[in-house]
Amino acid sequence: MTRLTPARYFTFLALCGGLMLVVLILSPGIGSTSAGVGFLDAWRAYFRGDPQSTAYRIGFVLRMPRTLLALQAGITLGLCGAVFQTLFRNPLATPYTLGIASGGSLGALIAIMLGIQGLFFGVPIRAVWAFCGALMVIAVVFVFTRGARRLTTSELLLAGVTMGLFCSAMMMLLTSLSNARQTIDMVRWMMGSLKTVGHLESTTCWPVTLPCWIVLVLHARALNQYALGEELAASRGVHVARLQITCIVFASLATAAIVAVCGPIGFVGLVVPQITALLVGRDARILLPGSAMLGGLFLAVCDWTSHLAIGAIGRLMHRDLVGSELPIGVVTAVVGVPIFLVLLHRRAASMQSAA
Amino acid sequence: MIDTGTPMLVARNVAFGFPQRPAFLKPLSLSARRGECWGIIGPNGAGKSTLLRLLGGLLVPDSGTILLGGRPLATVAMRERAKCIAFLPQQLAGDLHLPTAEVVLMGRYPYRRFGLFEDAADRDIARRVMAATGTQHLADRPVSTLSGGEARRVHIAAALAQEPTVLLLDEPTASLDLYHQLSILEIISERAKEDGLLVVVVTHDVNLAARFSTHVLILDEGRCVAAGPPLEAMTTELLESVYDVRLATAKADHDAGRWVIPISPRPGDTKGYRA
Repeated sequence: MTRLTPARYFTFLALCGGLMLVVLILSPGIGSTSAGVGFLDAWRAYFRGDPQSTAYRIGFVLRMPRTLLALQAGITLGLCGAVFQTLFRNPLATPYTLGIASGGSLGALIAIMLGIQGLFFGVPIRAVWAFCGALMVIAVVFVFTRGARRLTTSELLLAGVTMGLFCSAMMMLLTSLSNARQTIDMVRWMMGSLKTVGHLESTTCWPVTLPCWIVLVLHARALNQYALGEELAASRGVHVARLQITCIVFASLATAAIVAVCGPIGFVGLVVPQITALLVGRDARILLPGSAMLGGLFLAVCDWTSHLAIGAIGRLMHRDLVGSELPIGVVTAVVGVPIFLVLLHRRAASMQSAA
Repeated sequence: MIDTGTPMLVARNVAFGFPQRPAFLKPLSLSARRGECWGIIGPNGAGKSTLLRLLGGLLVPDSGTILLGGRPLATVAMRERAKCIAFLPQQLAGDLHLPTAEVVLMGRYPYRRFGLFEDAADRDIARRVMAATGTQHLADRPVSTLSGGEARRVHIAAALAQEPTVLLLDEPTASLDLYHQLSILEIISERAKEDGLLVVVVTHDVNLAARFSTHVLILDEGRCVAAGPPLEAMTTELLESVYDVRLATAKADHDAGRWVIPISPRPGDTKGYRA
């Protein structure tokens, strides 16, 4: 096992950053093929300075903001997944473990049920409801597990999972009470989506997500100590309770913002941190930024796949599916699981040969 | 020259209780200097680990004060405390997928507020403590693949990398083989002699405590029943009553003078174990 040196650290992160830049540059050219706007068309329109042209509108009002949102959501979910897995010492922990996704979904479903639409200070009201629903769940989980002075992670997990199940039950109740159009809306929402209207969705999240990323990444060294054990970390000068609360609060805020805008996109927060750990090791200093950047790349590529694959599936089924897209959660699972299994198999094999 | 005159760690009438067990540790005083090696012994549940955590500042006493180099421990900031006191719990993380060298370097945590990477001075210190603990050859192995004895030595190396003046160890030899029990205590007492480290060890092994300690402190049901040089404090009668067993002794050729050999539980039920 190699140690984390500055050279390795910066090489890996520069590589990820470079790939993200490439993704962003390619993004105006990749999307639903029926639009007939290619990579060159879009950039030509951009440099011609022609914001009214179809190529510009498709490339830079539809596709690039969408990729920006995918990157942002992937970064958040990858990073928060890595933080939660470290904090709970549990490889099955995800950003949604404390019930954030279910709480957010319940909030959004209530908004759909009540027929609330429109903007609130430039933010879709449905997203505001989802954000508040997610925060309510976290607040409940916190209040009921803070009987003692220090948080016990197993009780947090238990409370989070229970609250998640409760919200799911309430969501079932709402779907059963709603009419057909509302039900379709609700199911669509719960599938998760990166649909954007211009830059609105991606920009509403920045004020929440960006500060959270910075705070979380700054706690990497303390999280490394935490991995040694709570008492050992405390003896080294880590304020353990403060570390736990800070990480949970900021990871929850960022995740809630993403859930509010994109819905519950599964799998990124579970698998990306594990893939990152298999690639670069479990040192939080590289695991946190690495999971973040790989999460962004992963979700952006999955989003492209959801556009490109729908045409092929439509041809197979002899149906015209143009204009629709695969649910992003399906793509993250289909793309993520094979990568994960291959890496897991390689690690098992290398461990056997080492022994 | 290391100043061994003034006491490094002083406890004055320190008492502590848990919510479920108020007045668990009865008022206790001790005064320990640099270069000394203290062994805390006593039966299960006597309060040994609690006392160690109080001395390390991980628990705050209900009454009484603890002084670290003359300063009340409660007023020392966590990071400053970590530069003076290293603590090693009995339970260590079992699934630590980090290379050994990295875990040792992590002992430098309190010295670096910002910045992600340790510098050359830190790496020198890590190299030195790994040599002192005989763990250099493990540098690139993940800690999760080490044996119990090797992992314990690595964690002791990390504690030494903290460059403490006080080293607190909770049962460092529990569940280790004979070689590792002896080698770990030898490493520690060598540091005490050469670097003037004050070492406090909680242990169940009365023979090892007698052999490697300069002072022992015997706890029984939260009360300090004896403290002082091992030969004087650890009388056979006292050990028999504290541990509720019958003992035999044999003459030994080291300084502690004798071996204690447990024979059988004492008849009767003086401690309520069999209630």
